[in-house]
Order: sequence, then C-alpha cells, then structure tokens
Amino acid sequence: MIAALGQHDAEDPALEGIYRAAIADTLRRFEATESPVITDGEQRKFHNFWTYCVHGLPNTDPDGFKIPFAAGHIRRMPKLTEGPFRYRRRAGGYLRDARKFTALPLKQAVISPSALSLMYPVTEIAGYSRDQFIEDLLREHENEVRECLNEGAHKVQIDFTEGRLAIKVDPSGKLLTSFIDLNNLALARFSAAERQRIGVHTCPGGDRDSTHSADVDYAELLPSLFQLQVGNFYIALAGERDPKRVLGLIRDHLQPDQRVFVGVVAPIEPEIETPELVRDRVLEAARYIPLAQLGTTDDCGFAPFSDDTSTSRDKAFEKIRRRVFGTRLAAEILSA
Amino acid sequence: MDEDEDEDASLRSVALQNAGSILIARQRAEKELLRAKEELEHKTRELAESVASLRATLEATTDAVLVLAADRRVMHCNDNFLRMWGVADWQAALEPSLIDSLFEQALYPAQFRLSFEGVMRAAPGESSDVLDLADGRVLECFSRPQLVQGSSSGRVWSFRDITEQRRVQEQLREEAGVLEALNTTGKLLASQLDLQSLLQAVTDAATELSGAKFGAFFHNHTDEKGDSYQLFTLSGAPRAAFEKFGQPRATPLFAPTFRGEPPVRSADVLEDPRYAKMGAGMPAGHLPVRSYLGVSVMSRTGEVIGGLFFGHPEPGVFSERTERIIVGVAAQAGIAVDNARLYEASLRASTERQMLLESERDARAAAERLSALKDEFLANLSHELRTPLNAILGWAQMLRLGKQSEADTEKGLATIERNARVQVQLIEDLLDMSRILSGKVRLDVQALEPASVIEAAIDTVRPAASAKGIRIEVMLDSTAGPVLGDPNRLQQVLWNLLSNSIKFTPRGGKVQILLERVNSHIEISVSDTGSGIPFEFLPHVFDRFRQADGSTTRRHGGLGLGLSIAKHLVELHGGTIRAESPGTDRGSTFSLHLPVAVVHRAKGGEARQHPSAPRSVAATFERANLSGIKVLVVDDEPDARELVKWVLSDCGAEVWTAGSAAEALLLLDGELPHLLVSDIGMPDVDGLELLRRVRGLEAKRGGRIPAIALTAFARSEDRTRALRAGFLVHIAKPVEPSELVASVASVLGRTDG
Repeated sequence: MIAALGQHDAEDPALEGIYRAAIADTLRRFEATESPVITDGEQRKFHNFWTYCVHGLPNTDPDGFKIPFAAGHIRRMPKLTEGPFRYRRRAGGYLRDARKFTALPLKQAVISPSALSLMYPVTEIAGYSRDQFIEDLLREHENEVRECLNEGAHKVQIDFTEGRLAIKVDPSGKLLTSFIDLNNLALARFSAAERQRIGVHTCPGGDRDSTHSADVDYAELLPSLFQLQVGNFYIALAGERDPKRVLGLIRDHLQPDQRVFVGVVAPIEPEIETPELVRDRVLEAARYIPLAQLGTTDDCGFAPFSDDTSTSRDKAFEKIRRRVFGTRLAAEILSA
Repeated sequence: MDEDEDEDASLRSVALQNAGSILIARQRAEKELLRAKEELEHKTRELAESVASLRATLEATTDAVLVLAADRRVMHCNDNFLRMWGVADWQAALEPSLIDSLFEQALYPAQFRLSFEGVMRAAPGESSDVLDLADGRVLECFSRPQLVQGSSSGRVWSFRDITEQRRVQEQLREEAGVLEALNTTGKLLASQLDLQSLLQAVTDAATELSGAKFGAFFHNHTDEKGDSYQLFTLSGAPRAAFEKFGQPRATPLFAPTFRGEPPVRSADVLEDPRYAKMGAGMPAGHLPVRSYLGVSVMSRTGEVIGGLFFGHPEPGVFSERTERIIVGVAAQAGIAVDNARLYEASLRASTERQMLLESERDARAAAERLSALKDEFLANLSHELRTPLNAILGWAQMLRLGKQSEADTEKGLATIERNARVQVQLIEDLLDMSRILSGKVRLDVQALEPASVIEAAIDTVRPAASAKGIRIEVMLDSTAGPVLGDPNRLQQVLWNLLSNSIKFTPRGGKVQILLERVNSHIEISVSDTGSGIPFEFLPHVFDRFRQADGSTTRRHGGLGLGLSIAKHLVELHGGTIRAESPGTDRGSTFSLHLPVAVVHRAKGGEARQHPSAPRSVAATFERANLSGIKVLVVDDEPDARELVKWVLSDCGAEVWTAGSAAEALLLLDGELPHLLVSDIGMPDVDGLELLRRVRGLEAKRGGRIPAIALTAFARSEDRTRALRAGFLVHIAKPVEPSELVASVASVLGRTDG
C-alpha cells in the first residue's frame, strides 16, 4: 500500500483495490484483537490525520506552517490562498467504507478546527476575511462531525494534538485558549447527547516514533483541555514520564459527565507492552479515576501519516491485542 | 534557528489574529445563543402554555387517560384516571404495581391482563375493548401509540365509563324489542278481520308479551240480565279451567277493567290490601294467581269491548313496563276489533248489495230475454201468419181468373181453406195463451177414458204421420182408469205432443204413445226418434215463445206456444208434464201425469173434435133457410163483407151491406132489416157506437133490431163488451159459415130444431 502510494497519486483510482484490501485486512486484524470497539478509526484516511480533509485543495499552497518533530523531521501544513474554505473530503466516507467490513462499533477520528485554523495565512486574503474563514471552518467541522454521527459512529474523536504544541509555541497560553475557544465554538453546535458521543484526543504527537511536544507539561494543557465541551477524552499517558502526576491532574480536572480513556500502550515505543504492564497501568489509573469514568486506549495512532513505516502492522495489532487483554485483566481485578 | 523563530512568530501571529476572529465568532455565537435562548425561552413559555393547555384539555376530558412507556412505566395520567381506578395520587400512579392493581379490579382479571399484555406487545395502531369491572362498572378501553415526532414513545390508554350508556342501551334495546313486538302484534291484528281469530291473536300475543302463565279476553256485553262477561278467548290454559266457574263476578279486582277504568296490576293479589281481604275474588279451584294484571279493551268510541286478564302463580311478574306493553296491545286490539266489526258490517252490506245487484241483473236479463223472445215471437208470428196467407192470396187470385179446371178449382179452394184453418189455429193458440195467462180458461170437466182422447188425437195426426212415413205405435192400457178432465183440452194437449213428435221426427221415424197407470196417476208418454232436445234447452222447453231453433232460418214453423199451452192445460187438470231427451238427434219423450178420477164417468159426454182437426167445409156447413130474412151487414173490410153476404145469401137471406157505420145508418133510413151483423173494429165509428146509435132510433126505423157482433176482437173481455153494448151474439173472426148461419138462425128463431 505504502509502496503503491509512492508510485501513484493518492487519489488515483488504480489504488482503490489496494485500499479496499488494506481496510479489510486492518479490520479483520482489529476484530482479532477482541477489542469491543474498532478504536483506530483511520482505516481509509487520506494521507494523514491532520490535513486529510484539505489535501489537494486548489486554493492552497503546500508551504504552510511547519511542525517539527523531535526526531528531526518536519510536517508542513497547507496554506489557504483564497476563499472560500471548504473540506475536500470527509471522514464520514471513511466510516462508510469501514462499515462494509465489520459489524463492530467504530470510533471515527476527525481533525480539530483549531488545527485547521492555522491554514489561514498571517496576511489577510483579499476578499476573504479571517472572520469569514473562521465561520466557514466552524461550519465545515460541524458537518464533518455530524456526518460521522449520522453514519452511526460509536464515537467521534477530535484529534487535538496541537493543544500541547500550542503551549510549546505560545507559552503564554493565549494560543491554547484561542484553540479551546474555537473548538468549544464548534462543539456548541451539538447537543449534550451528541457531545456524549464526541471525544477529544491529545498527545504530544507520534509520527515516526517521534513527538512534537512531549516536552510540554500536561499541567499546562489539561486544565484547559477539560474545558472542552465533550463527553470523552483520549489522553496519551503510556509514554509519559510521570503518569501518576498526569493522572492526578486528570482526577483534579475531570468533570462528572466526562469520561477519560487513558493511553496504556505507546505506539512510538518499540517494545510491545505486556498485558501485565497494561493491567498495572489500568490499575494505577483506577486509583485516580472513578471506574465509571475510566477507559483505556492507545496513546496515539500507529501511523498518523501514511508514509510512516516505523511501526509494523503486526506490532501495532499485537500492541492493541495486549491492550485489550491487559485491560480485561485489570477489569477482572477491579470488578472482583 | 531564526527561521524557526519566524515560524513560531508567524504561528503566534496567525493564532492571535485567529483569536480575534474566534472572539468575533464567539460573540456572534453568543449573540446567536442569546437569541436562541430568548427564542427558546419564548418557545418554552409557549410550550409550557401548550402543555398547560394540553394538561387542561386532558383533565377536561371525561375519559381517564394513562400514558405508558414501552417498558410500562407510567409516563402520565390525568385526574380522571386516578379517580376512575381509585389511585390515591400521582405518586401512587408511578408505582410499578399500578398495572397489576388495574387487572385486579377487572371482573375477569386474567382476561384483562392477557388482552392488555397482547396490546402492549403487538403495539397495534389502535385497540379498543370493553372491560367489565368487578364493581359492575363497564369501561370502554382505547389505546393508541404515542407518537412523538413520528416515532412511538409509548402508548396512550383511555378509559371511558360507559356504565350508564350501557344501561340506557340495554333499556333502549329492550324498548325497541317491545316496540317491535307491538308492531308485529299490530300488523298481525291489522291483518286479522275475523273477530274470533283476532281476539285469539290478541290474547296469545299479549300473554306472551306479558310473561303471564295464562291470559284471557272476556267480552263485555249487556243482555236482558244486565252486564255480562263472557269468556271469549284463552291462552296458556285449557278452557275448562275457567268455564267451570261461570262468568266472573264484578269483584273489586275484575269490575274496574270491565268498566273501562285504568289497568289493575297487583304484584301479589293474595297480599295486596286492596283485594286480599276478599280472597282476591278467585273462586276455589281457580288456577293459582299471585301476579295479576287486568287491562280494558276499548273501541274508538269509548265503548268497553271487554278486558284482557293475565295471571301468574309467582308474585311480582308484571312490571310497570309490562303494563305499558299490554295497554299498547289493548289499544291495538280495540282498533282491530272496531275494524273487524266494520269489516263484518261492510261484508254484510256488500253481500246484500251483491244479492240486490244479482237480483236486479237477473230481472233485467229475464226482461231482456222476454223482450227478445217477444221480438222473436212476433217475427215468427208474422211469418206464420203470412205463410198461409201467401197460399190463400195466390189461389184466390187464380180462382178469380176463372180459367182453371174444376179439379184445380177444388184444389185451390181446399188449399185456401187449409191455410185459413192454419191461421185460425195460430190465432186459437194465441187466444188460448191469453186465456191461460189471464186465468180465464174454463174447462168442461167430465170423467173420461184417456184412451179415447188419445185415439182421437192420433186420428187427427195420422194423415200427417203417414205423409212422412212415420210409424205410430200405440200401447194403451184400457184399464188405466178414468180421469177428470176437459176432453177437448186434453185432446188438444195430446194433439200438440203428437204433432210436435211428427214434426220433429224425420221421414221413416217412429212415434210411440204409451198409456199406463202408475199408482194413483195415469201416465201418458209420447216418445219419438226425432231430433231430440239439446240438454241446455230442456229446462226451457215449456217456456212461452221458446223454440230450440229460434232463428229465421229454422226448419220448423210454429209460434212456440204449443208446449207452454199444453203444460198449463195439464196443470189445470191437476197433472204434470215433463220432457226428457238423451240429446240432439236422440229422440225425446214427453210424459204427462194425470190423477185418476174417483168418480164414474157420466154418460153422454161426447168427445169434441180438436179445432185443428181437418174438417170439410161441405161436411160442416149446414145451410139454414133464411129466406125472407133481411140482414144488414156492416164491415169496413170488403172481403169480410162479401163473405158474410155470400154465406147468408146462399141460405136465402136478403143481404144489404154497408162499409161503415155512417153508411149503415143511412141504409136504415130507407130499409128495415131483420138483423144487423156488424164488425166492431171500424174507422170513425166502431160497431159498439153504431149499435148505440141504432138503439137510439125509433123501433120502426130499426131501433130494436137484433144485432150480431162479428169481430176479430176475440178476447173474453171483447165478447163481454160486445154483449153489454147490446149485441145478442159475439162471433169471433174468422167465422165458420155454419156457425154464422146457425147464429143468425138462432137469433131470428129460424133454427131447425
């Protein structure tokens, strides 16, 4: 698949069969992990988790902001050159594709509006104001999430990986605040019940076994993060240096109607976590978080960019399998 | 590094600029939110009002409403529901045991539970049922899904108390049944016009409708003993059960009904203080009666026709409703009885009218028939009279020519004479009939031997029979015994029967005459092998003017009077005559019965010849000597005048003739005849007036001359009138010359003897 993408344009119809085979294989393997929910949610996602929806827009330039990773590589955002702003493709389509191959509940990931807000350049685009852009962005994001909900997504996960990055870029916290505000503006368009099916994922990045903001303290992010009006939080924790401290922060800021899924396996870690480790991580988390509000997840996607080959499929699914198994071990202990 | 810093700076710049836009967006959103909030508040108020209105509507409805979620949780109910099912309050309604408590209140809890569970499980678009509660109430249960924005969120149950409605329906149904029964009874009664059947139908219907064990209709009428109540019809009990008690007495129990007073109804006559002290008026042995009902049956005019009485051995059988029904039946019965009476009266009137009409029709038919017969008779008479006249006139004209041989002359004269006699016979028959009808036939009664009369009659017809080759067989019992009778008239009867037989028997046929004694009668029968008498004509064979063949083309002549005259004559002899015939062409038999005489026949009775018996003029015309006698003959008919002149002149008389009274009187001026012979019917001055005028003359001028009336007015009263007018003799035309000569001689004292 990755080799084919190297030779063809990502939208080349010739790749369709390969895509389908890859999706079918992914879902089959995922089901084999005995996970009750297909949690990855990016089986058909175009190119990467961040720009999948705008990739290839004619009114963009590829020379947008750079996102530097600790490993030294850079991912670059597209830049909007003229209005109006519209999504080129939607995650609802990926969800429809995936549902053809599995009957299990599916969590679908979408990119946050705050991440895409960085596409508008510093200089005002003639004839298309920033205000207009923000308005279009909010509407497009709403449509993106609502389509997934309507397609029957078990959960819709908004990837907010730039939250921690925002602290890094702007330690004053204004950028983060504006991101939180923007995302909450978008979330305000959904009902409380709908928001219970929506979650926010945060991590320090996980591209090619490398992060972009692991050095930013969660303490800078989490108080603001839990201000987001969603029912679920997917927080990378396995890769944290001091998970107990993070769990304490979570406990302190988690609200009663919110549920938190803590990362118990780290995709960027070459070692495959043992079930016992997973179990212990869950048991640890359970000491901080009420069981009714606690769930487990992977810290991040195993390949957020399509050209990321740092983690093999076998390893990824084994990690998932162990996460499921370890969580079950912990659940048995906790329920006893 | 600088590049990175620029990048971060740009990023911050973008972020900050975005923050401004986000702020604006947020403000816009907040404004929108505010507006939405206001709108929401407005809608909330509207919704609250709507909910309140809905609630009020729900409470205002008379139905009890319960809204259940699919899992049977109570979502809502109204106060009516709480009241209807005895639920303390809303909180109690929320108890999970509510539904079970509903089941327990049903008359059949298991059935209600089954039905309820079925509806909740199947969730049909609509369900309806009627639920009987243990406390006697009846509920109508409806249910429908509660649809919120198109999807079902539960089920709405509504309960309506239809206990009263059900009671009214039952009552209405019952009343409708009664009306139908009354209607059926009414139709039955209206279709019944026979009084007995009608009253039986009334009694049967009323007994059935009332639920009585037995019922009776007593007819109310007044006879010489006063009021009388007569058992007319009975239902549900044998007649013997009542008849043994005779007519009911006018007790306080029965009398009001016979007087047309309001109905008498008693739940228990044995306990009823009004009647119990008198033993309820029931005689010992009466069918057991506890429940009693008596209703008057009255006509439109208010007449009490009678009463309907009902009884039952159990108390409390007849309700107010029963009474109303029976009063209705009694009213129908009253009208029906009126109608039946009217019908009977109209039937009687109709029958009488019909009889009158038939009588009038018969009379008219008889008159018409008689008129027709008379017309026919007159036609026949004319024919019969003209037929011989034809021969007479024909021969007369030929004789006047005087060119015939002597033999022809003789033949002509014989023909003229014979035909004239035929006419005489016709006229005799007519006069006979006239005499018979006026009761003026006088019989010269004498004891006679019927055989001699028969033989005389046979003698007169034998020539005719011989001429037709008809054989006459005679079987006479000479010892049959004498009868009392007029020999001429009996001979006339027999001659008539024989001539008819010969007339109607074809050539070569046979006529048989039988005389025998049968007990105290003699029977004379004349049978023939002739044309017979059609069956339908047999009853009319003795009628006047009736002939079996009355057409103008008939084969046989005659006036149709002969048999009628014969019948009358026989009856004048105290006998009977009857005709028999097996049918057309099978002959006929006429039989006459005459009582045998108990007296001996007197001597000297000589049979007279029948007038129709052929007699020779020469043989009977005895010439008297009238020489020296002067006779004035007056007749407006020259032939008659000349005939008389010839006859009298032939006897030597001197005859003057006058064609009218005036001419006669003129002649008397110059001549004094010995005798006046005058016609009666003449123009201007008739014979009677002539004689009166003659009598008005002096004797020397002929005022005393004897007079003889010679006239065609031949009736008895004509004769009387002539004699009263002064004529010494009345001679009917046509006159026999000898009779004329004898009469003249007699009047003038010139008889030989």
